[in-house]
Amino acid sequence: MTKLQYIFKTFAHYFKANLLVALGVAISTMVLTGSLIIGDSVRYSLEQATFSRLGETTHLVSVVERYFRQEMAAEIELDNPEIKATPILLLEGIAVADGGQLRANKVQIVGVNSDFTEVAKSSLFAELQDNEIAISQNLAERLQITEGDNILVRIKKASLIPMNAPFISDEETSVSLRASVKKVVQREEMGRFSLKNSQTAPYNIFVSIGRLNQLMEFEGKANQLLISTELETEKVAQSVKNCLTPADAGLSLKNIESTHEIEVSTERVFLEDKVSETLKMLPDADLILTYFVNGIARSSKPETQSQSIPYSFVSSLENKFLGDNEIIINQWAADDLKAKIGDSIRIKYLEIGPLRKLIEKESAFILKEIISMDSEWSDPSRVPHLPGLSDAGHCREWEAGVPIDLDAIRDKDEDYWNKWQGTPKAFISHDKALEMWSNRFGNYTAVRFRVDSFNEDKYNQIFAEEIVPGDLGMAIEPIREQGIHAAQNGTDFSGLFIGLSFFILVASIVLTSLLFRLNLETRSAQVGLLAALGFQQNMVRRFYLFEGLAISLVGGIIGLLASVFYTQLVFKILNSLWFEIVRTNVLEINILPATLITGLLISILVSLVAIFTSIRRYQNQRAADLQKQTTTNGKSVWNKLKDIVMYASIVISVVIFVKQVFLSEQLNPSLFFLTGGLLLIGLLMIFGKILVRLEHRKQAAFGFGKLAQLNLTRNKGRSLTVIILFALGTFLVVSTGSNKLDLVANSSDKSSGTGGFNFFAETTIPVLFNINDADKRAEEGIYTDFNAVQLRKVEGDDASCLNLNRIAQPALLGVDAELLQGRFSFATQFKEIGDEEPWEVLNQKFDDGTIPAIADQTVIQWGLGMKVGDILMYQNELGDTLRLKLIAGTTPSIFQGFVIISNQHFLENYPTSSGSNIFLVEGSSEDTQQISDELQSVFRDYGWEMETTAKRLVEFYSVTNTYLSIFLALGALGLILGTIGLAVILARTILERRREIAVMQAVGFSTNSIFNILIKEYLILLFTGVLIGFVTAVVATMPAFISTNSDASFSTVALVVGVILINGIIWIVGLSWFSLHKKVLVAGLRVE
Amino acid sequence: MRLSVLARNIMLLQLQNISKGYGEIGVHSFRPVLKELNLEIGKGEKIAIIGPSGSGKTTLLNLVGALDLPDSGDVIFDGKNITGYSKRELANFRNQHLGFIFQLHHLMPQLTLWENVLLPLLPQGNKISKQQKEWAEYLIQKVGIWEQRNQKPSEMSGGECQRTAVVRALINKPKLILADEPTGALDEDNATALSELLIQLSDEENVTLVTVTHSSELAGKMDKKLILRNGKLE
Repeated sequence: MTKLQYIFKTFAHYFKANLLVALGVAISTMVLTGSLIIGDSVRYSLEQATFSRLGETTHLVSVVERYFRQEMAAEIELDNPEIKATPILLLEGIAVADGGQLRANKVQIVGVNSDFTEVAKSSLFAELQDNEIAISQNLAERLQITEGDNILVRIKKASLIPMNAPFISDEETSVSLRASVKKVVQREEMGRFSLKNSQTAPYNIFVSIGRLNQLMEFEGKANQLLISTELETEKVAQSVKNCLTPADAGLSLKNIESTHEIEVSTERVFLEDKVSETLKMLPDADLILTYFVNGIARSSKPETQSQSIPYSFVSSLENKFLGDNEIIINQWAADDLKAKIGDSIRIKYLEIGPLRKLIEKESAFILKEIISMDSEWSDPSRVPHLPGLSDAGHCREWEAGVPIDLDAIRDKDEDYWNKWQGTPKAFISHDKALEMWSNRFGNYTAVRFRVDSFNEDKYNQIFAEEIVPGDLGMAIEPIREQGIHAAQNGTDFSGLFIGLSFFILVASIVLTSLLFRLNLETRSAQVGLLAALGFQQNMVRRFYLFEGLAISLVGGIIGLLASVFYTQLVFKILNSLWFEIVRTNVLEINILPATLITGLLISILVSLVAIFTSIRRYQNQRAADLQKQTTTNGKSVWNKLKDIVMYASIVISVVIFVKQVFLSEQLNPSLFFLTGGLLLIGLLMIFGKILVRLEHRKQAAFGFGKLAQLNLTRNKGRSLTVIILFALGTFLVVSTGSNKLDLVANSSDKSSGTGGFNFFAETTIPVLFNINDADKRAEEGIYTDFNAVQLRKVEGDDASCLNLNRIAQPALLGVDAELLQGRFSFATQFKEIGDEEPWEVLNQKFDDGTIPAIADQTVIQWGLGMKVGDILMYQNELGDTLRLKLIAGTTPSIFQGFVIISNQHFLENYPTSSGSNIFLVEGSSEDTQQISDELQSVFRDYGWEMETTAKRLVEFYSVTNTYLSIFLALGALGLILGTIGLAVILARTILERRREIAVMQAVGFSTNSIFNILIKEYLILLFTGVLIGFVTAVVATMPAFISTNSDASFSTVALVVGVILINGIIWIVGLSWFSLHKKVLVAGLRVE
Repeated sequence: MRLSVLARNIMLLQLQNISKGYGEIGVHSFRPVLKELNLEIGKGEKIAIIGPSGSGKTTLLNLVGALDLPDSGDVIFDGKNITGYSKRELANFRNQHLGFIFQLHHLMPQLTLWENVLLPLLPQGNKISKQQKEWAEYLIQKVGIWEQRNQKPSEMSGGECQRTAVVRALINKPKLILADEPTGALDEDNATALSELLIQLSDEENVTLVTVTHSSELAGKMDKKLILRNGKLE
């Protein structure tokens, strides 16, 4: 016989008992490995989701609210053959089916050409006819349509001119397309196409890019380039730069024959600063700014109708021609105004603020000169192309995007329009024009060059040299790499589930240790015998460790197999009951051998540590004791140390509790949790001490109760283990249950997560006007009184906890910060802003150039993995880096998923951003239904999606609450394990005590009396454990009980505790009864 | 016979002023068991220790067997004071010089008779030599349980188990066998047979035998009877 044979024989002999220990190991392995597999699978699924939403795309060239030539794609491929480029025109829309009964908002309208087949690896997209579309599976399900059906698509009208630019009509905000569904596109055919880092699939409609251009009245435009290459981003960026042409900035050349000039103008109306600065570098550049004014009047006499010319164009001239306070008018205007040189001429004009807020302003000039109608400056081409205005047949047909008083237009004005079109009637200096009309869209409307001094090659060359993609708002990103990074660094489900399964892990480890110790206890005489036979301690330890290893290996392998089923079960629940936390049905199980090995090794190691601890404890008892199967007390030094820890835990927890409850202004949840934890440790140790005291206490009174108490002290370790399991389980379950958030409770408070608003609305198509404006409301048919805060939005990644990916750039919101003052609450605040309310600071700018930003604390911490004070980087519309400093994190709020900056900073960085997409609506509680109905009806075609703020909050925090539910569910499973531990101990103890039970029966105890003693004994353990756990949990979660946002109610907690107690009582009573009344004990007694 | 007499004159074990109690010394609950006890045992001697229950017989045996250490006093074995030995040295000492027989046989239920007998050889190495096996076979044959060598304890009678325990005690050719009520759990016939076997084997192998017993029959077969009373030997 060898030592190995000895170990093997021992393992085999005690196989049944060992199998029970292996069960403990199997459970911990299952939960641990299962958690690791879940983490791997979520990561894998997110990575796969990245591939399926991007196809072959590696890089993305994108612009916001502007467009470039589709041909750029082919030119880039020519510039660098290692790059494949596919242009798409990506817009947003609303899909309507079944006569408007079924709708889907926020639908991606993807204009594709045959190149897209390369990205999608499907020929379908090359075959789309003008009246055909392909739609994603989720949209088909939402609209309940299938191939061959017709649907109406309302597409947000794209415009080459920024929608909020002055004098641009906002009448047509969407374009309709009725088309038949050629194909419902599946996941593998790019049905989940999305450029955003999110596992949630968008609704997609694919349409021919030509048709989409036609609908938008574009020619050959795109706004995204999908790049497929192995090259680095810098090389892609270089190729993009190489292929940029003035046309991509919307520039065009026009020969002005009347003045012998070449004009560079832009389809965007206003030339961006960088572009005009570049053009200025060419020789003899003559910059022009032409503006539409409300009126030109002579002010020498009281104003009359005949002395004011309504609605005219005024253009700028070089400063050399006139001073800042001088004006030149044409003969027609002079005649109309009866003006002469030296007269005072006033110009009334509108300054267009955010959300088309119109401010009428006026400037006065001295008439310097009157030019003839033949003058080279009397040139209608100085007026930029303004759709609806410059191309109108009559003045009365003007659609200027500003209110026009048609009654003010005289016949002579119509005559002028018929004869001279928009020819400017007045001219002022550049400087004065810039001072009056410079705006966020640009400063000039055109640049002119004399024909003989203009060189087109030089023009193209200087453009190529000076303009970089960023100047035109072009962002070039390695989108696949970012997607994979976001997937890999997203929510760590491994850690999450290990955390959520914490108690089940602890319970299974304790169970392993407990069962192994019970095994050892049975065989304690063997430990003593081996010592007597001269086996070294470490050799005996090795025997048991090897046996433990064999047990762990068996348990581990069983656990590994079970972990696959466990993962399948969790995924099944994740895809259904716990859908809230994943929001996708694409989760696939991915089992990596390395994960299985890691899970197995960790579990074996942990089990071995548990087993090793048991063995050591035994070996620390003297060989002679073991031989007799008795125990002696531990060392006094260790006891003293335990006393110190016990008293310290109690004293510290009481001090913190008293200080927090009576002396602090604000309750600190972390400190309360610490207090609860320390109290738990302290009380458990006190109970341990009580057990020792009970054992040595001499007491005259003797009865069943006392007998039960004394029996508890018979094996203090076992009794304490039961108490620890129940106390810890109750503590975790109760404290978790108490932290469930009830966000609806105070949703009408301004300081709550709703900010006191009733509704949160989001539109697909931006609303360009102020919906608080009384006139506009009357015009739109809104009669109920309410107040709305409108927010601008730059699209970004969803940073709410609904997105599992790690995101870098959440959607950015711009708000008039003063409108939110006194609303919402802040969980964290950047210390440098002092006590000021963060909303007040939002308009300021830090010395380091950073802009203050606010986000939901959950977004900062979990979505971004940042903290207050950190800097978040964006690329703004101008191509510059926008650095946002997070100055505060709100408590759970409706802003989850967004980063908020002030409107002022927003417009500086995103000047062409049009209108508002997000609305916070506040009204009287009695009117909520009416407000909802009216707004839904009026803004239906904007893709208005409105929900109550309370519902929105609940939806976000359903994630948190779902996590807590999982924790509760797994905690309850752990408690069941704990109960199994109790049952095993109970059964074992009854069996061990069969002799004394026989004696008790012999001296006249009835079975019922013995049953009473037994259940009293174990009910003491159960109730003590639950009581300790309950009291400490209530202390630990005191702030949650006090907080109005918490769902913690004594009824919920009482229910949880009740379930734990009933479960325990059933096991104790059932098992005791079974053991005493059935043959188990009788058989045991007969053996004795 | 001459050899035996000579051997008996050589001292094997000396207990000098041994005291042992239970509980913390100085605390009122401390219970002294052995008080300044002295004992000398020569090689090959057979000694019975008798005494009333609770007199400290097993405690004394545990001290002699290095399973426990005295509160004071020395245990000299073969001229060496073992009270200062480390745990490792004590384990080696027990393995090489002592053989234990308990009231309950304490055979490993997972092992066969043969394996139980060989068990004490394992601490010396992983391989059991041919000579060791022959020696085991000889002893098993000698005590008459060769037929049962492949049986597990659960398949053997109490007498057979206790004889196996005797063989196990002798397998390492110890100088001293310590028996704690070796016949206590056996019926009269088996007890008589085992007593004779013990005497015979200790004579043949010239092994010193110290037995704690209540059995006057077994005690009567020993060279010397010592009574333990009030913590001292009389």
